[in-house]
Amino acid sequence: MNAIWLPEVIVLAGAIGTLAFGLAARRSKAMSDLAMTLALITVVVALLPTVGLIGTVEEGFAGAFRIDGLTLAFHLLILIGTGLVLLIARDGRSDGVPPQYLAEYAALLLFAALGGMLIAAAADLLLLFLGLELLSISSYVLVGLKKTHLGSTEAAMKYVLTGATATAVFAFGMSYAIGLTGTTDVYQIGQTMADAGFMARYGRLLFVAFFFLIVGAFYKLASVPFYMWAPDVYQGAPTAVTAFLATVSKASGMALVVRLFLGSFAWVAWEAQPNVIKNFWSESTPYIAALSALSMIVGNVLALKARDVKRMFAYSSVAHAGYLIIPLAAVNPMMIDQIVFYLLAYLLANVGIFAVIDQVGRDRGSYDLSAFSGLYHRAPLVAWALLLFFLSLAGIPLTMGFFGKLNILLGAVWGGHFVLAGLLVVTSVISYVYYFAVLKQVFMRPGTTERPLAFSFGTATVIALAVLGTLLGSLFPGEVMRTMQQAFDAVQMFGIYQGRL
Amino acid sequence: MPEVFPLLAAFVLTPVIGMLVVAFVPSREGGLLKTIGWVIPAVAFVFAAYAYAHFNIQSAEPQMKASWPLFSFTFPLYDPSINAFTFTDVSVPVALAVDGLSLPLVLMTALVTFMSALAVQSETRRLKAFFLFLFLLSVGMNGVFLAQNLIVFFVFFELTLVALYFLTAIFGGFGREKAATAFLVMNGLGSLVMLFVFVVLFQLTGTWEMRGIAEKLPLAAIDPTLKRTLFWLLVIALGVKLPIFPLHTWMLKVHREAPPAVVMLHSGVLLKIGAYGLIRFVLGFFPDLMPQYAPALALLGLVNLLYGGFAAFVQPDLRRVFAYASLSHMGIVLFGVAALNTYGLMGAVFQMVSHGLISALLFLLLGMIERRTGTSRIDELGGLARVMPTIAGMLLFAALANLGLPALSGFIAEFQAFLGLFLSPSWPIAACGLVGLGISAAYMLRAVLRTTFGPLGAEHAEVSDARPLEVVPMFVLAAAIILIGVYPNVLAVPLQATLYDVLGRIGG
Repeated sequence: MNAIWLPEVIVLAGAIGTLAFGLAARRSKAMSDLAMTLALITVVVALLPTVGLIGTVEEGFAGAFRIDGLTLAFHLLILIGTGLVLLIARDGRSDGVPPQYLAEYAALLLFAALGGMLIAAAADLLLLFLGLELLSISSYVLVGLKKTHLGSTEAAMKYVLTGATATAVFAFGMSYAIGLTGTTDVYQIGQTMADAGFMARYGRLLFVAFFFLIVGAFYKLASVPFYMWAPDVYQGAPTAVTAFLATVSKASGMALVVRLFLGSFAWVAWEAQPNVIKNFWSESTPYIAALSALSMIVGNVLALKARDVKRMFAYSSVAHAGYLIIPLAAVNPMMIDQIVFYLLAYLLANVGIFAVIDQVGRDRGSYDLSAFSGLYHRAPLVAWALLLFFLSLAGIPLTMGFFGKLNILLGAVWGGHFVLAGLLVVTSVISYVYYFAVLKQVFMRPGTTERPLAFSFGTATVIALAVLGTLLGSLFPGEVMRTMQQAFDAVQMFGIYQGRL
Repeated sequence: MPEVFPLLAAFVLTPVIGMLVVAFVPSREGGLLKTIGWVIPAVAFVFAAYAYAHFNIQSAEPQMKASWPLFSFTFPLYDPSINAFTFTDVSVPVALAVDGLSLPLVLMTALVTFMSALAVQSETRRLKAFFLFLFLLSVGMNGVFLAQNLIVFFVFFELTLVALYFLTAIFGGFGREKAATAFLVMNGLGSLVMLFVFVVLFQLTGTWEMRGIAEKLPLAAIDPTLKRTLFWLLVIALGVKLPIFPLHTWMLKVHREAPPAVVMLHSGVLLKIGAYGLIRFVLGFFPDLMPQYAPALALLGLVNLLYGGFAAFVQPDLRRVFAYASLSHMGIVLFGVAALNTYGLMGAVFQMVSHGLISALLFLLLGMIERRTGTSRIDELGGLARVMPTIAGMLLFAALANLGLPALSGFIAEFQAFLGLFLSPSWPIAACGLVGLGISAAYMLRAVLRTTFGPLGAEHAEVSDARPLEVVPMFVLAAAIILIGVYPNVLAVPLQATLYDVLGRIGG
């Protein structure tokens, strides 16, 4: 038996170690730096067994913990994202986070990442819930870390309240699902549902369970209907935490939705009337499509009005959640590849942009659009990097984001969702307006100062890595996709080939 | 030129090399940047001329193929023989080739790019960024007419979008940012609608290759409603670029705000991408639907022709007159396409090339006048023939070419397009269109005569005529216009084989 739990254990040990280290070395700046570095090392060390596990499909702890292609793909996304966020956080010390909390800062980021990893690995509703809560509660604290900052406290409060509601919704759905099927195992639920006569009898209640579960999980994705928290929370939180919410937290939410939908519900088929076979995914797809459509519209339209860059990215992240849900509505054999590829493109571009936002915000003391004016003259290379990130997010050809969107578009058309494909197209154009509004400031507006903007080591590293990753995905999209398919073999996992579609 | 030399690849990649070189030149080296700025397009023009010289006029097939892998992916495609989906490897190479339809446009693009690069010599602000984006635009323009599959076409198409956005937004006039945003949104919408259609076409045919789709699509069993929808979506998507009447507002803004050298390229080359797409995709992919909808396209053309013409007649500003004139002339391209016969299509392609050259010349001259007098308003200009005889004379020449004076390229184009439409079932529309020809004479002469003759404003008494270096692009463009006018076979001969091939598929 492989040590399938090793990545999680390393992160857990690192988190506890960092926390203990911080307690021991309170108020010493050098020690706080070391705590951040320790957290970073933890992430890198945890990456090694994750990569080593590639190709493994194994269950442990009585089927509650499952390592497969999906798990590993999301583990990698989460770990890479967390590592990059830690690099930003390490340099963003002056972003209002009191220095004595730095060790807690690092430890909480690790705990949150651990929650995400547990979600990705859980094949049992209880473990899923545990991971979700670990992620959520750590995030609440992270958002409120700028203790003396009113906006941050307000954001944390709002995040807790909406988060608690979403959790309640999720738990309610869970109670129905578990109560009706008598099991907590995700795959077992699906099998029980497939029993003859089961759906005819309890079908409606299971639909209720399904929608409560999915809607509760969408809270982490920041998609409609639980998106209201995003703008305030994104704006109030320390920038590194915002980056974490926009990328790692969203990826974890996606893992949760995918596992629940494809593991339990999607493939259940039943005889509704004599000789009329219905299946779950085709019954649920209009509703999921509606949520996706609303997210795309709401996110992109509201972003148009945002002047604060962090708020803008909150709305933009709602919009991207909408794009990410499309493959779930348009069920097709490549859906998981589409989601993971798009998430990777989105993660790289977003982390890179947040690194720049962090540095510019600290320099100018503002996150207003105008803080970016004249950046081209202050830091030309970073301006070009920013251009790449924005083009990738907007989905302009020859960037990774374009290939991501192309994949999703292909999948949407394959699944017969022409309306969603059309909306993806139209809302992407709307997104051009606000993405280019930032670029306009960067390249065209004269700034109040021409002083060169120096980028600290961590931020510069994040930007460089994000550029590298985006370029790699832009120049070799086919190879990246193939590597993903071979390494994680996500398509095989849910038996999408085996005549279920 | 030997077969092994990848001529077309060199043509497309020359501006890329230009971008790399410019990136490493410090921005204070203005003179060096300007030299690079015209040498690179000159080299590209030489490649284009070589392609013209070695083009096999007998063949309707794409020639001088160059191809290298871009990406490939596996995709579950429907296999009718086993009635199931099978995973198929789909590769998307950067495939370039030239045929009779793209050759004239490639040549025109290379020439206009070269000439506009010469016209840039007066630009002084932020030269480095200017040339970076100009070369990016050039990559897009060079590639778009040569692309052999839809993805590559789309990629080049979008490159022009990004490049022109920045060229307008950074270097434009007073309302540049609004104009650039309007351009970005309208064209972004157009191109993404096009991408949507492309994806559906791929889904239906299983290939991105243009020729493959043109062969498979008319034979495939497709829901007729879906097919009609795709047809009209494609017309709308390309209609934004062309532009077709209600979708044209962005184009006026760009014409008004962008720097003259950029408008030369925009009006000269970029509008033609829409027309090219109309022939290549709408006509090429849906030959069976075309006879049914040709009258509708002709009607759209008539609206363009008349609306543009009448609007141009009342504009107070030269830039706007020329912008509406472009709109009006694109109506004639629609006429030619809708005629669905050799004359009409020949006329459409001639009009694309001819209008590209003429409007480039018009905006080149306009740029010179603006720089000297600081205005482009007709009521503030007048009597320019006295102080700048060369420029004023060339302006008159361009105006005459534009209104279709025989022995110049505009005449050949308009004559053929109208003849084609008269011979087609939609001949009444052609008859109405004749009004448009009259009005085009009226607005061009009104605008040009009022600026070149009449009383000279006192504030313009000191302005100078064209410098020797500025004369070069004027005369080259004028020479090309005359050449096509007196010897149309330079274009007609290479076109023929391809046009017969396109027309042979029509009818359904």
